[in-house]
Amino acid sequence: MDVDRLTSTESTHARGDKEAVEASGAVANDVSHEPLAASWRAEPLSAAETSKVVQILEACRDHDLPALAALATSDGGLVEDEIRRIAWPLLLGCDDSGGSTSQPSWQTLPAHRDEHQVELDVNRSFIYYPKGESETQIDSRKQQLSNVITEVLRRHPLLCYFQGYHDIVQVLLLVLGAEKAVDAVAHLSLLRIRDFMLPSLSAAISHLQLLPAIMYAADAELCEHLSQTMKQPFFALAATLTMYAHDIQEYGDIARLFDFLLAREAVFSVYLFAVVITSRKNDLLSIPPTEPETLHSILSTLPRPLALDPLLARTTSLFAQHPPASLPFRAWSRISRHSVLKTTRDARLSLLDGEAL
Amino acid sequence: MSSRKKTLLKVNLQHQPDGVPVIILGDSGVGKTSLMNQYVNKKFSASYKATIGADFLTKEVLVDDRLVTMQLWDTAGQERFQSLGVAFYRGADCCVLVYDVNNSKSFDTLDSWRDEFLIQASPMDPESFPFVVLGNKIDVEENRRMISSKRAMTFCQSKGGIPYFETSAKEAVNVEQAFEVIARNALAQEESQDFNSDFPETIPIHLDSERDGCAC
Repeated sequence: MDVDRLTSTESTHARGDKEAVEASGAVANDVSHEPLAASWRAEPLSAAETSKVVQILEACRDHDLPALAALATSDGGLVEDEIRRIAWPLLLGCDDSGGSTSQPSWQTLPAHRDEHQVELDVNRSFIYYPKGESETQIDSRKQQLSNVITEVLRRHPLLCYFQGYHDIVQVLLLVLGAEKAVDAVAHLSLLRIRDFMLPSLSAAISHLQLLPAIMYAADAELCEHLSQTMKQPFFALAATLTMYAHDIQEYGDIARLFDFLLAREAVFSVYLFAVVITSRKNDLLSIPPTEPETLHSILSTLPRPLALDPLLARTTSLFAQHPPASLPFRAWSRISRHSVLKTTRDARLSLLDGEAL
Repeated sequence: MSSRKKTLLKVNLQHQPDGVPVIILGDSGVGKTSLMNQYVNKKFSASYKATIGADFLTKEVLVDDRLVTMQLWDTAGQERFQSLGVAFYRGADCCVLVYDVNNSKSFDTLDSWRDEFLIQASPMDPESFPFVVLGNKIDVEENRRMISSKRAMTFCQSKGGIPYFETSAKEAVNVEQAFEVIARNALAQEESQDFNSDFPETIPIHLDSERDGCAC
């Protein structure tokens, strides 16, 4: 019975998508408009996964965000892209706007100052995934990626583009498809990664300044060993700036990690980095602290393969044991109250709130 | 070897013998990562991801029968990452400036990359600090070329005779030769600094004069 309901929910959803695409006059057979779809996962859902999917869909239907967040965080996350397409917009708070139809076409808006950089980076996108697509298909996806980024930047000209933003948007584009991605990317940009899109890098660097404090709380011995390298933890920049999308090479992994990160407040990204460091403790202790370049080099690349589920479980418990306000060195009180590290803790904000901050 | 302590990543460390830090700067998309990978891994890929922050690679090379470890810092081209510069620039023994011969803006900005480096790294003797300029992507067809060899060489000459190479990371043209000069100049810089700190230029004569005074 549950499965029946699941099937009917999905087909309703799919029909809704198709109508939306046709109504907007989009070219229906253009592959780039389509999400990557479920095709990356060949095997059918297990019984446990099927029952989890039902719970996720119920949480979505009831707008039960705490339940949805718990499901997104637990092992396996949101299971499947089909489900992510329903859940991610809710986690991002996309349901609040609605009035997007009355907006003028983005092509008529003034160009954004960073569009040249966007073009350079889009040319270097879709490196790790999707696999097995033709050059024409990839080119078409690149065009779509460029459109999504450019539309969001033109509609919110205060946002500054940063290299790595394109890595994040790629994931949203592949999971959600072009139609849904724009609104999701706008919400993500203004409400979750706003700090990274300010004119300077300093707010992004202030996120990194939490890392030594979290490390100290998590493992004082290892923190001591890394103390020279930890003074300027720029090795964590590429990962935290891109929600790990710059480094993770497996599509299934990055989609699953986004389930977790979108469901939790922004600071979890830094806690996760600390957990990744502690998971390599033995490797790191074998390098003398007098070789900060070598340590920097190890720390700046993620281990492969990445055992995400245990790492995420440890991240959750590390956060519970040492919540931000309890961190040493008064680290948390140094974070601006306008930072997404603090604003993503509170009641859900709208796009307008994000603009105002 | 020298007991001089070196600052890199703003960290004091007992410097590894013959570890020579080199930094690679230039506009986004000129081929910094490709050059570095061609040199270190002898590989070219048309699909490198954009660099974020800075990446680090090492390569051991022989310079006049001495084994030297080049520590290569590959940087992000987007201007907003320049604020990280001071952490990565300081302590460098050679700065490689890269532009794309088919992109005149990337050539025009070389001067500001150089200035920015000198400000942030503040080397002891900025006049003699070793730079090397690489004009990359010479494999692209001739009619797309924007910057002539002559123009680039004039620029390098005007900046105190910076060595200049035209390279193709894609086809491995001149990459090895350019990095040989980079290694050599970086090592010379490293040694001149060792010399400076081991034998300070200022001789503390005031001690002698004080003693002279007492002797009266």
